[in-house]
Amino acid sequence: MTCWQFKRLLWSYVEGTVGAAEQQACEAHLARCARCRHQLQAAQLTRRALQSLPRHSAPVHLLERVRAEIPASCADETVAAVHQAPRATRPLLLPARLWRWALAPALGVLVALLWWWSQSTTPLMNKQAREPQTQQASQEYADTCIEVHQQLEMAEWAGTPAASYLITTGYTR
Amino acid sequence: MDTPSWAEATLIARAQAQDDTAFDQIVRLYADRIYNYVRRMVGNPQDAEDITQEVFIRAYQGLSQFDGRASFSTWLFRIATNLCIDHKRRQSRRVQTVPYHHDDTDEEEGDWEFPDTSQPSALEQLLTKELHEVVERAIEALSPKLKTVLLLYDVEGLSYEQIADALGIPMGTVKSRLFAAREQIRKQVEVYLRGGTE
Repeated sequence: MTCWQFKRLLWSYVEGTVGAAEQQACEAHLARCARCRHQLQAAQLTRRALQSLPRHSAPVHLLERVRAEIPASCADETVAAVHQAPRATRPLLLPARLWRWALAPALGVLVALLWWWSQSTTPLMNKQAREPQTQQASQEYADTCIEVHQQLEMAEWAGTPAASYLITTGYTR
Repeated sequence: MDTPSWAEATLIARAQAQDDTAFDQIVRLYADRIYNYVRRMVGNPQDAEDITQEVFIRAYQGLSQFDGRASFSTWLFRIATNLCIDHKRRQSRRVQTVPYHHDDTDEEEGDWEFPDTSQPSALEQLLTKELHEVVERAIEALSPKLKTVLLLYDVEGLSYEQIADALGIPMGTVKSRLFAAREQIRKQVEVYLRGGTE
């Protein structure tokens, strides 16, 4: 064992937490190294001194000082915190991340309905009358898509869809 | 020195339920330990008293948040450590460390003689007192990080795990800081034993 190796184990040796083999190696090293013996003696004395340092006692009036310094408001806060009932009600609305998933299929259904509506009405009209109707339907469809898209963005941002979206889509929980 | 955990838990539960006598008991139970630790951390009795008082006020305010994962004493030591470090920062007091100059020429061949301390004589008591003073000065010169770990382990008797928990640092860091702190103290003790001046 070298001095460097002993020094690494010094405090474990002092505490008696080294293994048997290491202890033997330490003792063999100590037998031939005065410098490490000095270090060991100083370490043992240090440890003994640390553990026997005179203890300081808290001032006798500490409790009174603590009591006097705890303001009534602080006590009230603690009382409120301790006696606060657990949250009895869960929020009725879904969290934003769930709304996103709930609105995606709703959008799909809406698009399908719009497509079905435009298909079902067009055969009743002649071609001339159908053109403006188709354009109008396309415009309405585009407007609705934009509105739904905006609603989706709002839902993602605000956590709940606006009332107008619920009216437009008829989507309820 | 630690209160049995069941008694500690009962006391805390009562204090959390606004039983003021239970909180008073907690203060009485831990006041000396916390004060002793804080006193050595800050050095000044008046500051130590103020900080100890603040520790218990914070503990009272935070009782409802104490979840019992750490022991109550560990929790108090954590509050105390944070307040001591804040105090040190506020003071911006630079800790002067005494440099240790190892001089191989001072090396003596013979071992130091240590008296049998089983029945200390007046002289031995005086030497012990002197040694305590050396150690106290050496502790004072430690950086707050090293001092905290040394005091909690060697003086207050906390385990590595408790210190790691109280300070929010890995156990390996606790061990390395403790080693560094002890080495600094030991070197001062060596200087003293050689009859050197600090």
